[in-house]
Amino acid sequence: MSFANLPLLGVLAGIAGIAALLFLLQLLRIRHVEVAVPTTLFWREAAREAPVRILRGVFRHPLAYLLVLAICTLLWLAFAGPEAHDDRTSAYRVLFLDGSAHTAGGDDFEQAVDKLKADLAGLPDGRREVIWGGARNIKLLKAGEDRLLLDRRLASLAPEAAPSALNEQLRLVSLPGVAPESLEFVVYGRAPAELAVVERLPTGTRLSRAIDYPDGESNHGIAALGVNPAASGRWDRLDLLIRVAHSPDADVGDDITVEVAGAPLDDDRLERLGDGVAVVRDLAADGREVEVRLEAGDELALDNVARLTLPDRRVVRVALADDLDPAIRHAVEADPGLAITDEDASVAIRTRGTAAFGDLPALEFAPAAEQATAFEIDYTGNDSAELALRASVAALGLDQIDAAGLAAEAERPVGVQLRQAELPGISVWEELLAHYNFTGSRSFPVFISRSVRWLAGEPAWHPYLAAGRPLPTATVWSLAADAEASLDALGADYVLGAAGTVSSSRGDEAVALLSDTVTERHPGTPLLASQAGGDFAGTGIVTWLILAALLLLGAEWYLYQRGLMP
Amino acid sequence: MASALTLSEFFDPDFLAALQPFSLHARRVARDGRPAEQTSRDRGFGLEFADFKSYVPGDDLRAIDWNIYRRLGRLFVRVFEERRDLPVYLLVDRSSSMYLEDPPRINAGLRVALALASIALGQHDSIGLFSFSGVLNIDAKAAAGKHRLVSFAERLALLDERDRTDLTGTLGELAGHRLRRGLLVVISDFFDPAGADEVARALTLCRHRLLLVQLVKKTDADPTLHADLHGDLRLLDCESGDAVDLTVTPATLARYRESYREFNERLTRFATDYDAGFVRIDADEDVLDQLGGLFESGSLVV
Repeated sequence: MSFANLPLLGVLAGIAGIAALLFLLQLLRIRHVEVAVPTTLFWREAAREAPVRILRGVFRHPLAYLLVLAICTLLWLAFAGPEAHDDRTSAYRVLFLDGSAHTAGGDDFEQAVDKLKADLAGLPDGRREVIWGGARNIKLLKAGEDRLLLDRRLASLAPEAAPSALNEQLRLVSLPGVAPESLEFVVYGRAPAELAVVERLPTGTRLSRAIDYPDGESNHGIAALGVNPAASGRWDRLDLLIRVAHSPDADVGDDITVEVAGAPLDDDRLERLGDGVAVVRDLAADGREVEVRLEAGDELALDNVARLTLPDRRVVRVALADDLDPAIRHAVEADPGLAITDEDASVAIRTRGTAAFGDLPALEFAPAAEQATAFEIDYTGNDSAELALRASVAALGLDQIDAAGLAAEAERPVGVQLRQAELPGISVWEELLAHYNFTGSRSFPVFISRSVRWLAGEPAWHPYLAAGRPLPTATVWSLAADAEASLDALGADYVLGAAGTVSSSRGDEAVALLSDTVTERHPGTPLLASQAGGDFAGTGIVTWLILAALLLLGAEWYLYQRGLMP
Repeated sequence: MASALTLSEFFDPDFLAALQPFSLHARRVARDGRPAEQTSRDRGFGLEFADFKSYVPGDDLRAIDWNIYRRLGRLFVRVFEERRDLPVYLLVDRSSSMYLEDPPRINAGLRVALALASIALGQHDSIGLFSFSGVLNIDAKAAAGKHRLVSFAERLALLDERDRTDLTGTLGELAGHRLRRGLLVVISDFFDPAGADEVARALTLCRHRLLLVQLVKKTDADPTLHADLHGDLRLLDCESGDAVDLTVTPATLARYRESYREFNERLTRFATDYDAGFVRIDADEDVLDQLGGLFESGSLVV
């Protein structure tokens, strides 16, 4: 037996305090009710037999005192929240309500909620909590909170188009010092648990599933949707890849429809490669939204449609000085996304110190004698130099340069220096081109190509955006101070939430579910049956205590009305 | 404090009409009264034959019984009983206890007084009105005549609340008045602080026939019927202001009932021993119905 709201010592002290207070009240001189009567002739004799209480006088009503003490003690104990302990109720419980796409089919979610509510009624408030496992894990009901709050908090929640975050929650439980000594983690819904995660759970933790869902429910859905630079080599074109996955007992289906900006795409352009994979080639990279839909519906509708915002890839106009190494011109000409022009250029490539092409973001080449480090980068924005340096290494392709080889040939360190400036700019030793064979390396055209795009401020684009997965960072070009770069600098992943839209440096972009686990109805590791249900003795004890107190109050009222007690 | 009835409220023609069947008779009234309907000790020229006596000069020759003279040869005259009036003295309690509750006991007292006055005046007896609290007041001297009923009622209506009850002192003072012997009707709750024994002793001082009208309420016998009489109380005597602090318990209630029962028994025993009339009127109930019990077969003989 323990108490939810008070320690045992506090309960005992409270009872002693109540007893003492009531005792003093019994001893106190009472306040009379004055009643005028025709005569006190007959009351005088009676008064001699029943004088009123006076302070420190005779304790005249021990039974009445005991009755009042019993009532107050019962109410005090009810307030303290007694809880009966047994093996079943002593464990702390984490009730994980799966709000992911796994539980979005049919009435799975409603079943899970009903079961959760039923189990909650039988659990002590102080030793359970409820976690919502949707795109993000949220604590729906903290330990000690009344379960009546759950209905209101659940009212605005529905399964989200995101894979389950159950495994993330279980990994958290596995961290040292997080889980209590005895923990039952109950999953309400179909969220699958990975075997590796389950095996790492602490010894006292029991993972179970509240509902034993039947197997064999068929489903198919879009498991992959992404773009790649067009195989045709056209800079402003993309190839769109679609992959349809299915549960073991379902057909792949051949019902894919594609719409670009709301306009249906000719079926001829959809090239089916078999095994659920299809490709649309040479889609214009103009920033429009592509929607892919499976016409044959099934119980799980969230994966029957997927959207992707196409990158907006425009040709960058470059002004190129004539006095430069020819290898630079060759590199620019080899990139179909760059066009050499003398007018309306976005970026200039020139020798440092010349005024050619005016104030434009420029890639400049300077003598090593005039420049301390091999690469000097001017960046805009408020990021620290360290953050900007980390981002620039990937964005400019510097990570692909054989810096050690160059340094060996130059017999001096090849370094990078960054500074803030009003216009972006990159300055490189010209000796790297002529004498140290940088132009002959494979990384040279990459450096030229990426430098020009970085200087032109071309935003990053993503080959795909999938719910619950990290943002793909392979093509992050810019050093813009957005969340992606910041998280990348911290070594963290930017994990997308549910399917829908996400704001990035390019504006709003569509995010699709794209989960094989969801679509294939992967059951994950089999879990034990839950032991969270049943009645909890604590609630019953409180109820009985209050009922007993009310009963005694009724008895007191009866005795008082009958004149059997003062 | 509840208010007493006004004249218009208690001088009810229907009430008075309902009293017509009732009559009040004394076994024997005192001499020297006015001619009326009560049996008296006076002998004279009444209608009821009483006795014979020897003829002496001066007796009315019409009263000589010639049949006796023919048989015995001696002269006897017939004497007749003379009917006289019965002086009825109404002694009404006007202490504070008579005005306390709602309805106050004085209301029932006024109705009883009016009823007895109506009956007495209706049979040519005389009625006197006295009231008392701490002192005795002579509100109306004894007088006869049916026409006096209205003025008597007006006198009753003028009675107002006074302070404490001193029935024993009042009876002693009344005994000092040399009133013609008659019927003394005491209308009171008899809550004299001196106690029932002292009241009984004082009543014996009166030379009159006695009719005791005790005005009671149900809460007198059972205090639990009183809405406020429970728990820890300070009981204030409405007349003296004396306070009694007590806790109402079954024991105290039992002791109260015992005291009240003894009080009533003492009054009843006195009435029995002294051959006095006694009636207990519940002030919450209809007075006329309760008077019906007093006037068994329509007549009350005192």
